[in-house]
Amino acid sequence: MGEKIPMEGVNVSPKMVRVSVSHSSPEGDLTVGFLHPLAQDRINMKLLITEEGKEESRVFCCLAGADGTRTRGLIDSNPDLAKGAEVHEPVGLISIFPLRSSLKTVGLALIALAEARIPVHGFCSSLSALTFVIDHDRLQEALAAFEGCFDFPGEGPAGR
Amino acid sequence: MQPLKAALISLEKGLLDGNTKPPLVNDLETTAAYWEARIKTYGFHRAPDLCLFELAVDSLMIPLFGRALCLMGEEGVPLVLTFSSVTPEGLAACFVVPRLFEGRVRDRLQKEFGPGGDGTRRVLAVDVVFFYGPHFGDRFGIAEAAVKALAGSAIRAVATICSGSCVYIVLPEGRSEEAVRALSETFEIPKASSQKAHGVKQL
Repeated sequence: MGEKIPMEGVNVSPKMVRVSVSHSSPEGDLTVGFLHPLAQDRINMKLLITEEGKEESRVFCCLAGADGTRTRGLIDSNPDLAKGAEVHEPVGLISIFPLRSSLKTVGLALIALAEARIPVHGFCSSLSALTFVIDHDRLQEALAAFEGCFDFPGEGPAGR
Repeated sequence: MQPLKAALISLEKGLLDGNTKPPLVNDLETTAAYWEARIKTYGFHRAPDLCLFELAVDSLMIPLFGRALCLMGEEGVPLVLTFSSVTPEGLAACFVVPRLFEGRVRDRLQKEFGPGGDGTRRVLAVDVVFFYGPHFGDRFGIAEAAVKALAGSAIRAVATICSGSCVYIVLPEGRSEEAVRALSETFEIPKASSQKAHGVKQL
């Protein structure tokens, strides 16, 4: 779809754990019930998406691989959380830093990942980055796919 | 580029150690290990009059969904926020645009997917509040503090998204002012901005 979109940079993460929890609990209960024990145990989330619906609530987060076992323990200790939980690892985050996030950038990235047959587990925008959650062993392929539609600064990996 | 955005990019790339070139592969995760009695922020941003689209997108639909987003972007539909998580049926993909563009988005989705074929789960009128603060991406407990602050004022967020140093809260329409008041009781606003406009910037 035309010229490559310039990017200010790209970053990929080390191995991470993806946790998805869904529950038909009253609104708000799942989010608080999930976040509180993690905060008490000083577990940081690199990415968090919660959604509250009338019929279902969902929590999706990525945290450091080293915190996976503790997090599984916390989830398993709460039957309400455990029955709707899925823990998947290792995943990785690939973040691109566009000059300005746009629907076109998100669309191009999704098309690039789909054409490379890389499953997407989630994504989100922030003020300066677009982050995609994929399997960790596909990060380099994702980077190569993104190079087809985005223009990253620098020539070698160190300059990206 | 705006200085604020430049600073955030530096934060999100982890350049606080003075490196001018971000490493492509960051093997060391940053973990901040401090806690404040009142969590500092750089102020709140309020964006009212928005529209959230949520679509169920299975893996076969992703190229079509991506194309629809591309075309909407080329047609000038601004992006406020996008987020998506995996469900047993595929991705639950959400994007938030100014409400002024709701009709254009509906038209584009219908053109690309056909009537009723776009997997739209819901379209909601929403407000967004977002804020950021020092080491927000590297510290535990920030999201919980925000959710608790809202719950204390009986405000239920439609969605909460934390990525990098930013926290985005998607709210039912008309609740953003109330949400900022609730958050301001838990989070500290910089003095300079609190004197000017109670630390709130409206987009």
